[in-house]
Amino acid sequence: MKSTSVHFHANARAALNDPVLQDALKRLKAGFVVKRREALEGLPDFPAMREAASALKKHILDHLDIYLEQYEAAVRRQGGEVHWAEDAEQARRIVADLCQRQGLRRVLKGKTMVGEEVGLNEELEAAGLEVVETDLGEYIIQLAKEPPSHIIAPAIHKTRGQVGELFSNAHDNDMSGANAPELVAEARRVMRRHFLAGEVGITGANFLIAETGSNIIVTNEGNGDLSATLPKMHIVVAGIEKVVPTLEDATLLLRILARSATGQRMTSYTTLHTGPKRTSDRDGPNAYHVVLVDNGRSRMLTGPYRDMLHCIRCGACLNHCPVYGAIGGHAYGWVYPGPMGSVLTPLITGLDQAASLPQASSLCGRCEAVCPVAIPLPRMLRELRFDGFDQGHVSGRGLLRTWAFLACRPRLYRRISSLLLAAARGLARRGWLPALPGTGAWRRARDLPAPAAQSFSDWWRRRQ
Amino acid sequence: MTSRDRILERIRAGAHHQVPRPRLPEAPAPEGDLLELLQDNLTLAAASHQRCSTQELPAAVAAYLQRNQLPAKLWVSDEAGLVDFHHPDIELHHESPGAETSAALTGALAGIAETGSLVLHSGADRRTALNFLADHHLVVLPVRSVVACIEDAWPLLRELPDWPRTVNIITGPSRTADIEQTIQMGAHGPRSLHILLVH
Amino acid sequence: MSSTVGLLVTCLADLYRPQAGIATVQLLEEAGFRVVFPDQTCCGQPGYNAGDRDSARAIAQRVIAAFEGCEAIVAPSGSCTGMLRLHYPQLFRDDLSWQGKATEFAARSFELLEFLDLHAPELAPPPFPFRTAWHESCSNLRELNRGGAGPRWLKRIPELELCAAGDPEVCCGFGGSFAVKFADISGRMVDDKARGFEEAGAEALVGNDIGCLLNIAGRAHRRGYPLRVHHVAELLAGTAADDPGLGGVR
Ligand code: SF4
Repeated sequence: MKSTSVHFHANARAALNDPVLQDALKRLKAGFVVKRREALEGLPDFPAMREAASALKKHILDHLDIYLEQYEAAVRRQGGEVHWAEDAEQARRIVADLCQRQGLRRVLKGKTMVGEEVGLNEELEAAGLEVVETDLGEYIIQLAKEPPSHIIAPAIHKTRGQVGELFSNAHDNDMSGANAPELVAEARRVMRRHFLAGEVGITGANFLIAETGSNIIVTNEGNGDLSATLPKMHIVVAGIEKVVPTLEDATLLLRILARSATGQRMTSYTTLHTGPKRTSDRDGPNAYHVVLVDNGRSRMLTGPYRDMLHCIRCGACLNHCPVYGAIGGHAYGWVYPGPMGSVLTPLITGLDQAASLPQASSLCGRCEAVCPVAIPLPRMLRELRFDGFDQGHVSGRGLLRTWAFLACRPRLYRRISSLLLAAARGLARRGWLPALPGTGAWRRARDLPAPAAQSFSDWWRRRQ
Repeated sequence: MTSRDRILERIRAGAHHQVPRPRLPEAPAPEGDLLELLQDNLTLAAASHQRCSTQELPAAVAAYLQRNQLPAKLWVSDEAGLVDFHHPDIELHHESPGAETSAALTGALAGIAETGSLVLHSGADRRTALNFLADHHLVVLPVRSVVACIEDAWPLLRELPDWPRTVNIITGPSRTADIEQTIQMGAHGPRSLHILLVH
Repeated sequence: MSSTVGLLVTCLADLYRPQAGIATVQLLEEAGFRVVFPDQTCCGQPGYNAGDRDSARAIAQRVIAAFEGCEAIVAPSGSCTGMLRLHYPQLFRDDLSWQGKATEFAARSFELLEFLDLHAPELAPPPFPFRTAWHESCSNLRELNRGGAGPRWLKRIPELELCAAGDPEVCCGFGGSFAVKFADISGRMVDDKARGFEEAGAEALVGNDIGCLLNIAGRAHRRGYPLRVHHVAELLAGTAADDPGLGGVR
């Protein structure tokens, strides 16, 4: 998908002025945040589990080559095939080739964020395939021709009315004015036809199990299961960081994933797929392929961003981020929004394409506090700011350097600040400053008090 | 050099094989009666349940269909324990389920008390599609197959003669919150999940 | 002999709220410490958060050198204490000659309330007869793990009616230069925050980070919501009751 992260400022302003989006974001806070809190109240061991999950991820990344090779061997043993994609383009091509070589045209897609990341749909459609997103949220945004605005609730920005419009235009049914149950029933009706006709099912994976060669998907709708079961071929697209050694390891992560994401203890469907259908099986696909996607991940293993590969894509950092809560996902301009997106987007698409994202944070730290695998997101945003500064992507360098020059010279600093204080006091009205040059941005949303008549430093000097 | 080699080479530059494997936290050991806990958690997951004996099973299923005003048709799994399922008023189907499948009856390998989940798997005598295409999914679970926690299900699967293509851990009916964050049942899979706990 | 405490007053308190610094000196001296105020400007956070590590390092080295010989460094700010304690060691993680100094300096750095909890637990503050809300700053809460410490002190102030408002986990939108670089987003955040205090009927807002307090006071003023805003040191030292607070000429 093409990134529009360079337009973050304009995107954000538009989002703040979009009343429909603002309503949706209010629901988000009431929904996910409250449900997560309730779910964790029933799990007194959560801090210990979080620590163990983080330690487990550290261990896995330090043995990633070993576990990936184990996983690959296990998939082969079960009759599946593993493909390795270095970048987005290669991943897209592998998937398109797999479909085309078998002459399969009708593609069912379960929700996959890495699929969004590599731009799978565009490639498949360009190759003349018919692609249907089967997750309701993904289907809605597919009809709207929009990217997801949340990693686990892709259509969170859409209202019932908008969904009704989209369905009315796409289906042979007037759905404007329909309520939520009617819309869900309509989607179910239309999707059934697609499910029964699908020839290829593409899903993501929440985990890949080295021990068994299984992929695990965690869903609530059952669309991923139907996509993986009914067609002739099942293709799994997954980032290389998804591998875990054993089912027991996956269990620990499963326990924290659903609770952090939707506040459920388990989602409705936790499914393991291992290879194609066995010869005697009554149903299931004849072919099973896994596409392991690198796309910048192996590079992250060395250097300060390694911990970002712990991410299990639960969305908690988005749900608790005050910036995401103010502007929603689209403003971030690419597939991953919120704090995790502000780290991943520059790392995958290049810092020059997304220099604003790491800046667009008050570094309040709530993302790190809620992250179930304890990723130090604020630290990474700061690291990206360092990189951005070094690469010349930070505006106001001159001002910063001037300030630093003064900050290292206390006496000069004091003299200049006293002058500024005196001037500002002279202009103040009843304790507050009027619109002065340089205060415009601050004063857009709030007033600026006048500085003190006498600084603390001056007070101290007089007192001595 | 293949892409695989290049990816692994880059990984090896950052994977030093030194960080030890942490000890996993103990699996939860629920107190009290597992069957009761399972029943509570089924309810929490929005699944309904009832207890009955093996002999009562056909009548219980028939009553369920009637209670929910479903056609007297049932897609039945052929696995052991259900092959002989029979009720005079119910038309049984053994073929692939489709758009018209109103109710399906399957077994389960285990029930997980911790989460109110059921463990099902694919095989020569069953169809995974039954678990997802029916409007109402009825699951027969022998009470002796209740285990405490998720971890307890893995050895049961490892003991199977072959590792199955599909393992479904099902916790409540299909649902979605994709429209305005309001939870709706029956997104693509079953609207209702009913567990028959047989003793 | 009494031990020597170095005051790091913070650049914002220096210019905007000297009363907070003055009250801090009073509290420390009453607790029996000798207070010194080495030559200083700022802790370096603006540069650090903007990505300018070199500037931040230069300033940090000056700060560390200036406070040599102080048994403790006290700052009336959660955010600046977080900088000294957590980020100075990070800044020098690749610089062996400074790493040790920064770590040792970090261990001597305290946020004011934290220091009072340790050394003046018996302190008896005078009355403050207002319905008062505490602003929990993010650095207080998550960097220093000192959530709840502020309200605990407020509860000990006679006649103060503590009012719970908004969600203390949520940021006010200050974030240093974030407030001006992303003024619209920050504006939304601070409006939510100020509205929370207004809806709870707070007459006074108290905190230990002048940055957040400037931000919230500014938004309250723009909303036309009369709110007196003080640093907690002023309440504890007894100088707040007769003072209109930040920006206030009432
Ligand atoms: S960074 Fe942490 S909180 Fe955010 S999506 Fe990833 S795992 Fe979840």
